[in-house]
Amino acid sequence: MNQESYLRWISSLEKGGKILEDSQREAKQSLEKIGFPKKSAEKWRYTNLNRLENILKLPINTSKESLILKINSEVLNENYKLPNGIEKINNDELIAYLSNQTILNTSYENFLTNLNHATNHKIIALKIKSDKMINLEIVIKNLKQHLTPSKILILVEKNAKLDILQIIQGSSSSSHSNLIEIYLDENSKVNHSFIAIGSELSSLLGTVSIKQEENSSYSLSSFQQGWYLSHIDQNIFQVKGNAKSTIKSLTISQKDQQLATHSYIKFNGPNGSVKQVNKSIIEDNSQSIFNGLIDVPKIAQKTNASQLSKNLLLSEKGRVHTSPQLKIVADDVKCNHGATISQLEEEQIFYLNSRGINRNEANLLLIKGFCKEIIDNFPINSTKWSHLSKYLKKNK
Amino acid sequence: MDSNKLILEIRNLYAGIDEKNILNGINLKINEGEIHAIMGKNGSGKSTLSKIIAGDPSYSITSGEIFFKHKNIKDLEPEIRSNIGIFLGFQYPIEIPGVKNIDFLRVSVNARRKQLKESELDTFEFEAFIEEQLEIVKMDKAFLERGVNQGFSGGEKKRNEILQMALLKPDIAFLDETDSGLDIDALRIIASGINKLHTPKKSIVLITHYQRLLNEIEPDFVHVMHNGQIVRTGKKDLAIELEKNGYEGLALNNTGK
Amino acid sequence: MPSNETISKVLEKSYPYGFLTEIESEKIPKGINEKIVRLISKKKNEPEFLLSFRLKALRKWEKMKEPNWANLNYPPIDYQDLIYYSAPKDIEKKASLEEVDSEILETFDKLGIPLSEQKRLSNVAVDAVFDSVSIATTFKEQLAKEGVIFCSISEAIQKHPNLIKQYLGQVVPINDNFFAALNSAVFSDGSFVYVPRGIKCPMELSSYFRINSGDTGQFERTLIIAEEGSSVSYLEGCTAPMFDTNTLHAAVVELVALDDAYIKYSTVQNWYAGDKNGKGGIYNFVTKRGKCKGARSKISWSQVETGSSITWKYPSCILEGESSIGEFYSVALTNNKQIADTGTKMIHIGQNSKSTIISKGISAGKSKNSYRGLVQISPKAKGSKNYSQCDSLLIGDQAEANTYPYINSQQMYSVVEHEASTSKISEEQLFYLQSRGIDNEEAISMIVSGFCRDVFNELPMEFASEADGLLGLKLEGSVG
Repeated sequence: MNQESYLRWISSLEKGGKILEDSQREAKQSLEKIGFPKKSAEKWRYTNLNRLENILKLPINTSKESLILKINSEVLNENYKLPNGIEKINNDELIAYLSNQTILNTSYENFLTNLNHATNHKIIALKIKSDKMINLEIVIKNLKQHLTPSKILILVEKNAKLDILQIIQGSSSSSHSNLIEIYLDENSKVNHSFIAIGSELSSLLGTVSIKQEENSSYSLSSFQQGWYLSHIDQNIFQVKGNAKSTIKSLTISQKDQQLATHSYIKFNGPNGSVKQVNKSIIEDNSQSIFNGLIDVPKIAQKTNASQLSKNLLLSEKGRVHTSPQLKIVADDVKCNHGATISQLEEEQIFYLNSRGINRNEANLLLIKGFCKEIIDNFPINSTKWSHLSKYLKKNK
Repeated sequence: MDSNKLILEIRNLYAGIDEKNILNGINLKINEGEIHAIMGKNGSGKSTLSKIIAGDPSYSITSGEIFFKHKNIKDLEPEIRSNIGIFLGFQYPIEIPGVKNIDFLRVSVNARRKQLKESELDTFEFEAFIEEQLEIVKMDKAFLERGVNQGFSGGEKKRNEILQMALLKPDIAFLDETDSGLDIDALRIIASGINKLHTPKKSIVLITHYQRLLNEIEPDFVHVMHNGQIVRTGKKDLAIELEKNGYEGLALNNTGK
Repeated sequence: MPSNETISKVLEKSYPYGFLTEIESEKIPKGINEKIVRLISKKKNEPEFLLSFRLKALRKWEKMKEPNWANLNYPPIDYQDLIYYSAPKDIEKKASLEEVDSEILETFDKLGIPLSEQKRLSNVAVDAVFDSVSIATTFKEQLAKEGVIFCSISEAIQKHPNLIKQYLGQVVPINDNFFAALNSAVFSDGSFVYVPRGIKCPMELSSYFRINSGDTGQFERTLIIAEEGSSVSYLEGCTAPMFDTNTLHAAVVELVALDDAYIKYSTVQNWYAGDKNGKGGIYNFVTKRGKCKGARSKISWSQVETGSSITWKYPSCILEGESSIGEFYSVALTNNKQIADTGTKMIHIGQNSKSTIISKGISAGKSKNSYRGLVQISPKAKGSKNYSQCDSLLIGDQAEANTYPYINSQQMYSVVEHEASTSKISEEQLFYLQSRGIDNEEAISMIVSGFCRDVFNELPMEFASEADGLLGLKLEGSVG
């Protein structure tokens, strides 16, 4: 995208409501400064930038209908009274959060984040009160031929527990810019299921941004499929270490789709742990990108980190790019990572064949087995889950 | 010999992997209900023979035929061979993480039942069915919930193989070193499982290094393999002779050529 | 737990090769421009094609920017303040060793590379390079009997211009990167090896590079060609005196292996690494690349990197031939304020090509040690396989170990596996050794040595012991 039309696009963005005004102005300035992503940046090296550019050509969806919120399985509408244990963050507080960049783990030099802030008109901002247990479900729908921005901000107070199921749906020729920020105070626990299902020519620019205090535990299970272009950032920051993070992601790419996951996990104190597994299945002439960095500075002694990128390349024309990276300064740590790219294993197929299971069924069993580790973490009663079983059924 | 009872016949089989010849003219006939033992040193071709009968695609047959119930099975897919009643108990059962043992077993059993024109078992029926079979190998139900052979000990893997044999009820089972790596108690459990599954209609081929399995399961015939050929065939006393004198004692290099 | 002092004691054996040879040198004026390039070429009496090769490279280089993606922080190099050619005076290649300045012969003696006929190693042919000039090549005649050409690249340019014309710049194009372009413009000397068809080179070939002048950049150029069915093992060693200033070393190495040929290239790099505070030392910015051009050809890189204040080096293999094999075995030890950014690229193009990467990084002090590697499986490379293992050992809480693997595959019938781990010396292991009566220092040596074992095993015997010695470690058992 040339600089001129990029700048024109930035200045054309409509002002959001009063609360978002300041953060939007700042984001626009940042966008101007950063410029439109270039191939020379490692993060965007394999991205089809034309597809990214097309997102910016879409009008912005400013309606509020696209966010559906359920708390403890009841749909929340305008008049609904929030149950005990969950509160809306009031406007003054929210403005403070949005202007004070140190409270949340969101990079303000990042294209995706600023794109979200610059276009955003909708924000859900909630607080889970100390010692409470809450079950949240957020469904984000799109408007056809529009770019739908959405932002979710959740503060989880001490000793609170939150199960959150986030579902992003994309229909044809639509785009999402989604940013979810979760702050976990001491001893809190969050189980986050992130399910993003697109369809023909839909695209998703998503950021999951997590900040964890000591003794908190955060677990992300993520699934994405069906996007023409997706780019998801998963950022975790352990403020003082001593916390536990788990990330399990599965992406299935088909046709000419391009699905990308970029993760950055930083420990800023000792005794932290992370266990990360990123799995991809690549079909047709699709492309899968994984880029992960675990950053263990000197202060983060006794960190235990593992990162695994496993890729099943199932077609002649598919492409995989994976780069699991470690950056370590502390000496008393246990860190490992691994990556594999392969087909289904012939030995395993033969074993199944020798038990009378034909090749198609054997393939299916093995693909199911590959996905199991990830999908086991999703809520069982999630009715939106039919996508994966549909995929597994039709598969060859 | 009553040829109607002939279940498996191997005729002059030459085979190998990549460019390497491993089997150099195998001839073998097995009748219904018989128990055969194949013995031989490492690298003599015993495991290759069983893999080829099961249809492992990494091996190729250069010449010769394999008949199962008078039908040439040389070109059949491995799953078809399993469906029609040929079973291979693997020397090194493969681990398949993520694929639940019970799911795998159910799909496998239903494929065989389809061939036998029996109705497929649903999840509940299958659970009931498998519980009886678990008793044969004294296996804990918990193993069904784990990934196929995932994190199983050597002995547990072998029991899982015999469990599969019990479920699939094959007409002929090749058991490749089912006894290796087992302590004496585990060996007895597995041997008694195999004996329970042996009927006048079902044949078994034991591939083993040692005579100790043959003390538990009495073979009708013992074959000795060397350099990809069967160089001696005898009764149980051949195994005893082997145990006593070793393979050297048989002066193998002078026979079979 | 060993104190950090014990560990540093193990790692900080003083640099024994830091002496300076007092010798009169002939240098050309500082700076780089067309005039200088023409002057170098003229001094070496080069044919026209080589001069135009150099000038083309110079023009490309002038348009290029110094790379900064590896995050190597060093003060900007003033390329106009460097001297690009320096030669010991009056030794424009002597006909025989007897005529070589005795100071220089003594230098090599002191470095453990005796050149004179009585003292020289019996089974290794050596090409000794002093600053910009090749001083002597041993065993030339014996090698010539087999048809093996082993000489300085300057000599090869004079005597075998057709081979040079055919292969120079074919594996590393002149505009490949900033430092390769610079080297192509001003390279001074280096080694040339040609192994004819079907010949197994009867002895190890070795080049020994000695930087003596402080303000001279070293730009050597090595070209090895292995014809069909031939094989050769080549060793490279390097040292430099201690100077307070940084010296630039920007070499280019090109290897070509035709059908069924095998090239083994080993490096023990022990440039001066600078002092404790990071003052002085060599900037080692090297481009090494091999092309497995022929079917079933094989190129194996093994390296032990201990010196240099900054290393930027990625010995790579282009696996073009069907069933060709690429290997990379590396130990990189950094201490004090050293920076090493090293790794490899394995580019799979041919069907059934295979590659193995074993990298061991040891970072101590305030050093920064990074593995950076690329495995690329192109659509044609059906049946190809890669296995990579990158382990880091951290010693002390101020050292940095990074692992940056990049893996791209476009071929479903291929397998790529990468594993990496980072750890410190395990206290259990130390305790176990100590409980068997081995003292702390020795125990650490043994563990570090064991950590590197996979790579040391790949080194030619003559070097394996040197490599171990270089790490300042004693070996368990006996080697060689």
